[in-house]
Amino acid sequence: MTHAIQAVPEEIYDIELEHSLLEANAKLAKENRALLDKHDVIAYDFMGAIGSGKTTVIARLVERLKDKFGIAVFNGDATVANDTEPIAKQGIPVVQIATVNGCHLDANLVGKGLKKIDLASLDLILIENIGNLICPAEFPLGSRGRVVVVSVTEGPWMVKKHPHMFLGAEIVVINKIDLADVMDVKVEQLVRDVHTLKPDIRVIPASCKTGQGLDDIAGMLAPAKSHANA
Amino acid sequence: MISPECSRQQSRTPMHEFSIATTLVEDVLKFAEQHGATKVVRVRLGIGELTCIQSEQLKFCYESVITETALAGSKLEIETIPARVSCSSCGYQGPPKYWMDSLVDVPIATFQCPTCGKSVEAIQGHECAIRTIQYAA
Repeated sequence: MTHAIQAVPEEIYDIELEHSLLEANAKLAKENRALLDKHDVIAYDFMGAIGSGKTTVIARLVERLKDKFGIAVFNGDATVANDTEPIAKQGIPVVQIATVNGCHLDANLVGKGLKKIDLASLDLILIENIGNLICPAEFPLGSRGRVVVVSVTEGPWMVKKHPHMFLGAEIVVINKIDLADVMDVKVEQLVRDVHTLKPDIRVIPASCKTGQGLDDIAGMLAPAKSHANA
Repeated sequence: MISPECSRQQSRTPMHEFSIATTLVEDVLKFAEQHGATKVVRVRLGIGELTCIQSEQLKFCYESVITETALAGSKLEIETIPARVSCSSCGYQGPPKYWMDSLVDVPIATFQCPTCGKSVEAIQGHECAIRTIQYAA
């Protein structure tokens, strides 16, 4: 009779869990949202590629909204930004958030920004995310909705190339439509592409050069009531 | 009015896969310590189809973060969690409608209801979670 004995090199165990890696940010985003709700402030975050015109669109929206509402802008940039001047000179609070080469704003950075400003005097915060159409999608900030700014100068395939960003958007601004003919881009096709992804996204063709569409966007973002100027 | 103090705020990372890998390794090390593990053999993640987290980039970042930790030499396995959507207009629940376009290699998941064409909400597919950690005691 033979006895076989097999050596067990190490005892191996499994820990079964369902531990979310995005939870920490999601929790901070909820805290940001609760703080905003407490002060009756609505925040929107703006996303889009570098050069899509996020900063200029925000500057034009501030012009249209600042007399009726208490408004602030958070500007996220990978390094120190020098492009907030057109917004800051309009006399509204601007919070500069440098991610130090990070590719996205996160709820923690936005939460720190919220502590820097007097929320009681505000109705609306426009948050400009880093120019990047991929990374910010997984990191909610606590805003009520997302505005994606895409411009015709980015070519005709932007929506198909970056579906994730659009799926999370409430409003899509198709910017620089004054250049559509030069770029040989069909604005209607971009609108159709967005609606193929999600039919209820509000899509606004706009131009900061001619002003087209900007009043419509301002109308969509305007809070129902203003307590700042009450 | 610019608040310059805010420009001192820091986020650590240059790529979202890297920031996810860093969180992953920190969390696994914490669980491993709680369970008295001497060495982590394998970590299994579930990543939703609707995220834009790239598995290969995440594995690369993981490899670069685990050196000189109890995770060194461990294997990261990634399982894709398929998308599921729910339609509040017609009650459909199931896989999303895919957009087949000649320009893209893979079909694009959309939020258009496959039965009634209205907008849907995702009920699955945005996950990024540790499922199991295999370790040696």
